[in-house]
Amino acid sequence: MINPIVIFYTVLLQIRKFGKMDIFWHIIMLISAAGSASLGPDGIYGILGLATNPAVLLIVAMRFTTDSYQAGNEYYALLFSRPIRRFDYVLTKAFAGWLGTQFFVAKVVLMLMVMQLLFGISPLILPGGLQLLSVSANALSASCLSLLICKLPEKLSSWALLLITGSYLAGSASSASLKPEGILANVPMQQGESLFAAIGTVFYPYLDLDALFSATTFSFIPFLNYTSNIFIYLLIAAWLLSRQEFSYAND
Amino acid sequence: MLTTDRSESICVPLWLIVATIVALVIRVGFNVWEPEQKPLPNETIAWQSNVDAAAEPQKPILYYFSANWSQRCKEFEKACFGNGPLVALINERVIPVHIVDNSVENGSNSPEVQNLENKYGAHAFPCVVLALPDGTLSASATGSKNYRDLRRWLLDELTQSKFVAGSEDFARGDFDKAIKELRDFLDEKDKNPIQARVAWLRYYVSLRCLHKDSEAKEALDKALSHEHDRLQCPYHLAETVFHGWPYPLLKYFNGKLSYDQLDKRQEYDNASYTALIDWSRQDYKACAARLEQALDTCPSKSYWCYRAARSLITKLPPEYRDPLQKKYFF
Repeated sequence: MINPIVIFYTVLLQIRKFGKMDIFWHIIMLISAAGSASLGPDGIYGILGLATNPAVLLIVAMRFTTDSYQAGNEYYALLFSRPIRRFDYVLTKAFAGWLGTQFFVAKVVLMLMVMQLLFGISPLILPGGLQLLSVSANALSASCLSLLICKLPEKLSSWALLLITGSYLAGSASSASLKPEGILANVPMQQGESLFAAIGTVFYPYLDLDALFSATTFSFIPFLNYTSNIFIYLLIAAWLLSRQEFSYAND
Repeated sequence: MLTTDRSESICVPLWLIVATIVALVIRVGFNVWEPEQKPLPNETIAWQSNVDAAAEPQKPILYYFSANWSQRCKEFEKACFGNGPLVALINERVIPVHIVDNSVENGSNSPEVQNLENKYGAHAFPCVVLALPDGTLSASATGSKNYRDLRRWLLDELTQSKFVAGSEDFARGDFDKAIKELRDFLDEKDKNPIQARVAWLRYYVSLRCLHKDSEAKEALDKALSHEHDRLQCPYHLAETVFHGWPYPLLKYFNGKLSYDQLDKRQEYDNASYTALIDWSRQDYKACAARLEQALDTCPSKSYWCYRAARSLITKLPPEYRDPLQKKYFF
């Protein structure tokens, strides 16, 4: 089912394309980790929250599932010159995205751990087992969704990405509802909040296993939303890919 | 030579189609069925009325301000008040009081709700406020959180809510004892910033009452250096610091502290600020005139002076209160 050659190519291309921008981003991450550690527990929880934010996971997963990033059409031609089923390709890409996204979160956690040691913060603030499992589950969901977005026609793909990440970022930009008085009296905030929440729930439900297992009453709904969404993403991505034609670039 | 059937290579597996349909059917079924079987998250907390909370002076009070129209409040309740360990912590360690803002639905809140919102600065929802048993603001947090963040916040703040004893001596006017206890509190590390400012102010007033003016000046400087947005409004500040206090001292304190700062303020700020002083001097006629001036000139209802003026109106005698309420709020 999962094809080791595709994973190998995906990872190899990531390493080959590691350039100045990647170095720049890693320096930024390191400075952020140092800054948050210097702020103490609040700063560390803030960075951990940001690194595990669904919108951020989706953007990170895009890097591993975007084909245009990976040598364009030649990449497909190279892969499909071998007897690989297209669904296997979809599944493998989702798997590679999942691994890559988890690797990103692991990097952030590791940087924060090193910085906490350097700044002498004790006890160390690290995510718990269920939190890490949640990150892993959400990384898979993000990877499958990003794969679907990549397989959409180009214009639609950009709008879909903008809509989903935008709704998440807009939703998390303000965590409080301001009283609609004064200049806010005519702003339809209630409808806006409901719309952002609905987009998040329908398109990208994420799991918080720690909260789910410690709830007073257990609910199956988040698990069902999560599972069915992953199936839908994979199904549509496989169907879209099955309708595409590929050829060697130099034919 | 490797060969493969093209149609087999590109087709979508049948099992995936079946699994997707089954998962969707179960998802829809559970989304309809499950919510009817479960209690609402709010029902797990032993909410009490504000009056009951005042009757039980041993525990701090956790006010939860929400609005029915707010999606954030629904998310917050689902994430926090459905969590077993957090619910147990709330029910055990604090007196939970749920205040629902109905200003959007009904046009205005009841005076009790509005007073609490003004007192604790709850103007966005959800807002949780931890108050000491005597009603003194201890800490507040606005915005939706997950249960981990709320639990951490609550535990941190509960461990820092320590200066209740000092406030009892202070309220009795036993300033020697109050100074000692407040000094002990102020010498501690990692103090809650709101409590630190209130403690410095009480320390200052206690010293002034004992005629230790040089020490008092230093205490006042310290108090004013502990800025906090919840305590910027002089009305909130006075109410927090002087909660349950002998009336003349409030008058004394306001007279000494406030006039120096008037020049820096806008007209409506000054009017609202001065109205508080007039009120503390029991000059209700002047107070009502100042309040009218503040409410006429204040550009937005969300300004602190507008809220403070509105709140102060409810504390006037009926002959001054009723015309103002009729003119501005009803």
